[in-house]
Amino acid sequence: MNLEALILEVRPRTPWEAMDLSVRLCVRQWRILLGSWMISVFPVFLIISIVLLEQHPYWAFFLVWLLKPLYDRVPLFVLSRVIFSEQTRWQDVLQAIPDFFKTGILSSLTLYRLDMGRAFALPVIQLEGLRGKQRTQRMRVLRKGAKNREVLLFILCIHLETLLSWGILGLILVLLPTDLALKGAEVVLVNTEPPWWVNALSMLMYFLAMMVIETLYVAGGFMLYLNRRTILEGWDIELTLRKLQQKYSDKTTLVNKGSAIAALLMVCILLPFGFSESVQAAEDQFDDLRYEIILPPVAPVKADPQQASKIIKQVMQEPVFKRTKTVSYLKYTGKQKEQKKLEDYSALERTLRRFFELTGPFIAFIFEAGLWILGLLLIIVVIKNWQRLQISWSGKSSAADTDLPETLFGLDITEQSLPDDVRAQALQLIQSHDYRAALALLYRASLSYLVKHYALDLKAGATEGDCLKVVKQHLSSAQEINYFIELTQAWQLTAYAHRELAEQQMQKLVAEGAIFYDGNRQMQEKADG
Amino acid sequence: MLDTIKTVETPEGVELVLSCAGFYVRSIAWLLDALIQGVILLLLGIALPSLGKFGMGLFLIAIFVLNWFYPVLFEIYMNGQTPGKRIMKIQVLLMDGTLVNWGASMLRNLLRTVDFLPFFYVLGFISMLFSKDFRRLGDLAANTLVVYKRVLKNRPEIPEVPAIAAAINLTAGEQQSIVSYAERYSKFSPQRAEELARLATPLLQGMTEKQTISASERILGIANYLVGHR
Amino acid sequence: MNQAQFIHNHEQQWLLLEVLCNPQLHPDKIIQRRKKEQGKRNSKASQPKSFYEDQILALSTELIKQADFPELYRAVCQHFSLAKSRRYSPHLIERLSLLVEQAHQVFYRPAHIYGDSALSGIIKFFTRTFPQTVRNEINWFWLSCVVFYVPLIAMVIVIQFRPEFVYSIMSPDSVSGMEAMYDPQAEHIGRERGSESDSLMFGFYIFNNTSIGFRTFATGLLLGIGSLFTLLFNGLNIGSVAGHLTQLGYSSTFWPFVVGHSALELTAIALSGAAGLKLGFSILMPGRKSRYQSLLDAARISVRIMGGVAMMFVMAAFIEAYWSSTQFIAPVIKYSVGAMLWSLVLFYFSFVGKKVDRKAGRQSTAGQNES
Repeated sequence: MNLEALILEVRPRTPWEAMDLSVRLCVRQWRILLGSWMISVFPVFLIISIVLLEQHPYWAFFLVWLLKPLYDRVPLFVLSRVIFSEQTRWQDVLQAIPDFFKTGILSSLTLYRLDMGRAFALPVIQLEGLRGKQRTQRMRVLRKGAKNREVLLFILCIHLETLLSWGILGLILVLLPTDLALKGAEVVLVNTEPPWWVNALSMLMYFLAMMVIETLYVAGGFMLYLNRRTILEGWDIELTLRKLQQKYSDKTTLVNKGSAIAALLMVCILLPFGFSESVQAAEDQFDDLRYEIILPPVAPVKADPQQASKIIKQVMQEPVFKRTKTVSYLKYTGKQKEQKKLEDYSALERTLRRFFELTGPFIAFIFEAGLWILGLLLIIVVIKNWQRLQISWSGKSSAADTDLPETLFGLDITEQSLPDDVRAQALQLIQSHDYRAALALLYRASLSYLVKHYALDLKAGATEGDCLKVVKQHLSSAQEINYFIELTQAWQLTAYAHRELAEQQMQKLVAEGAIFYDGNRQMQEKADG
Repeated sequence: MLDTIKTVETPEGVELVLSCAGFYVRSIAWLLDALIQGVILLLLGIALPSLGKFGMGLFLIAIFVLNWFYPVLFEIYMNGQTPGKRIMKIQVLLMDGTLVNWGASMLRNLLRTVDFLPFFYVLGFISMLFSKDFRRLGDLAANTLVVYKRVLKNRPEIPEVPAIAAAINLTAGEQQSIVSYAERYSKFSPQRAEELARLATPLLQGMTEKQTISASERILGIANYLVGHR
Repeated sequence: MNQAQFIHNHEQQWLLLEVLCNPQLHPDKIIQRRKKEQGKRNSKASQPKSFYEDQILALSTELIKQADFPELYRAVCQHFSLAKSRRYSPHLIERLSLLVEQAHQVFYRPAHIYGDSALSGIIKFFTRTFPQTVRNEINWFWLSCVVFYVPLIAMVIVIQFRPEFVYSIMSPDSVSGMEAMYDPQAEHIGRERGSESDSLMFGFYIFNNTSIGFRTFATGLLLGIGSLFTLLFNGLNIGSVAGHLTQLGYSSTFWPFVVGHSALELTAIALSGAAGLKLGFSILMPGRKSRYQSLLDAARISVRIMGGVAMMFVMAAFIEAYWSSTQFIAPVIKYSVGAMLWSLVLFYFSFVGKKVDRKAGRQSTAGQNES
């Protein structure tokens, strides 16, 4: 185990972000979380159900609900280990169960059972092992500036749990055939004394919903707790500084210290339990570094509680913690005036109502007339702007729906970019042995002609291969297709394979190309004439 | 490393860091929006029936508009924030960190219907659990993301002490940690601050027991040096 | 360069960019706001809009006028990268990163904020984008039509021979309600109403029909099953109503009523289904793309269809409420209007926005060349 094993990014967060992170953590570790819940909590639930459900169903539900703080300890135990990517197996959970009863279980089942910030306090109880006054003081420090988000978390989770447990039941009813579902709903909702299987089913739903939501809840509380401590104790800074220390210390002790540091960080979190030998060894090494206030005294109690409380008082006097709050509230100042006003208002309302009753049909008529006029206006506008509707009567091509591309693979194929006499310029380029430019010109001219003449469905990202495919589909004359194939091959050879064609071949391409670029020119002349 | 942030590279080659909002905060924002919609409907429900059947017609149209277009219109015209989201300080963005457009906002809000299935956002809940960045199905299809809208907090004061140059070369990360130590110095208890400072042994070398300044003062000095108070 | 120097050298640019991103921070506005606040002294001072308001006030208006947004934005991006790589204080980095984020959103804002006005955007949508998109996705439309119209027509035919079939689809209550509404023998026939009731029904149709359409689309995300189911169900339902009333001999009241809005409404339902099917099948059959990418691309296109569909539903509701319900118009006229609307819809989706407006652009440039 080493520091890099920490699977969380340590930095100060807002409480909301901390809660979100806890969700991420639960999803990442859902197997072990739900698995350990099943092996440890399910038996409890099963025993309660078998013993109590048939005779005293309400007591059974109450007991399952009451023992929640006990179940909470399972996911917290798992989470406090997995965040250090420590291998946690189900056996570990089972082994740890006796420890759960050592840490203030009675008070959390009685005195603190209705505490809305249960999950936030749990790490203090279970991992730090604090009780009584110490616990209260510690919680006060942690809660300062935490904005009561743990209460909000609690309220949200309660609602999620209820929704989920009802919802699963509802889903089952929906999936059943209608008749059966109706009977089922009747049994569930109408019967004052539902048969045992209804209770068993709702108990199961309750358990399943609790399994998911309680885990999220505990993780949320834990993450809020860790985040508070990160802020109060600068954990992120501590990590970097420790690494710095590590870097400059002797290489021989490096390994030792590395694990020791990591172990110490574990200690911060897992104080009372899970004292493996290595952890204690690490503790000895860093004895002088023990946290005095923030971390409460560990197993061998060294700090004097009285001194501690003095220091805590001191801390509480510091400006960070000491805050005044202005609370504004509504104050009841009298009744009579308001009543009079209300009467006035209702009288006014009455007249208004009568007014609208009379004028209602009229307003509705105006509304309808307005809509008709709007409709007529729309029709007029459409007719007036007929040109802009871009109506084409050719039912054939869907190609025209898209804009014709102006460039293909970087070649400009607009008409304006071509010279007036393509043939002359091509021949000129051949004479000056610039075959590449000549072929580019021919290819561009051909494409320009084809795209325009046949309205080819070419997208801006098409390749030469795509062009060839489309041309083969749309052109009927074999002569044209053959020429285009030849031209494409010549262009690809020159442009990509850098092979030089014979001059003869070039001349031939120019001569045969007349069908394309002359066609283009004829069209233009027609348009001009 | 487990985290809830999403980095987006802009065309300028700068990395934006977005902090994704999970379902806790979003469900509260949703609740607030539902409340606002409910109040509007209630007011309309009181006012419009006095217009008789015509009023009822308008009321039905209002329900329709509120149901389907309330989130869309607010997201479009209030920079990705419905009133509820504004209160909770979260915002809808496209995955590239820019504001939502009509198409995306329409899509994510129309598909709310599917997120709502089979009852009360269960599909949305599951989708947010298992998708990266807490996105519900509507977000996935519309390529949007809900993030916390950050605001600049007051600049923390660095306690002014005489600047001291560090004896060793510090990496960028270490520098940042030391400056951030100074910025958060007032939040730590004095004991904890001193304890943290003592961890940086390589920076404290040459300090003897008899020296008058404490370790934390020394680290603060280095921080002052690093930010350039000389 | 140390941090203090860095801030000293560049802070003015940061402040300028902040002002450009947020017009509320213009010095004049800040002064105005502060004056207002001084006016009503007893109210507590509102939060400053920016932490750096005082420094912004020191900027001259001239400087702000001359400031060039893209240039400043690029500069600040660079400063942000520098500050990060030099690991300046977290607070400074946070400040710059926020500024970059804000400016990034302004710089790459979506078209509805700048660019085309809303009106020209809407015009362009209905004259080009919408019909073109429908034409491009016509195969989905046909599939949706098959799922919708085949059960509809089948139901109409089946009920002519086996009238009791209607009860397998609808409850007896709703059947008798339907009969009462369209009974030609009834004293006041079917839905003769005043303007007021028409308006109520207008609201109801918008609320009800459009929501059904939207749901048909949205549930398509469940691998298309939702859309298929809704289409099928609506087809059966409408078919059984039509078949039943025809079989009873109520044709003279029923068909003239529905023929008017049927063109827009049925087409809109089929289009919603088409959009939903496209969405669902993009996940099932992604082709060469990843499933998610395929969904993203399909969603972007299908939401365009839904924008148009919403408008079609509103128009259908208008016709249904104010035209179809009128009683004094002869059935012949209603049938012919219905036929006209069907051909208009057909015409709209077949031909509008088809001719690409290439000539306008090219001719103008050609003209420039000549002169």
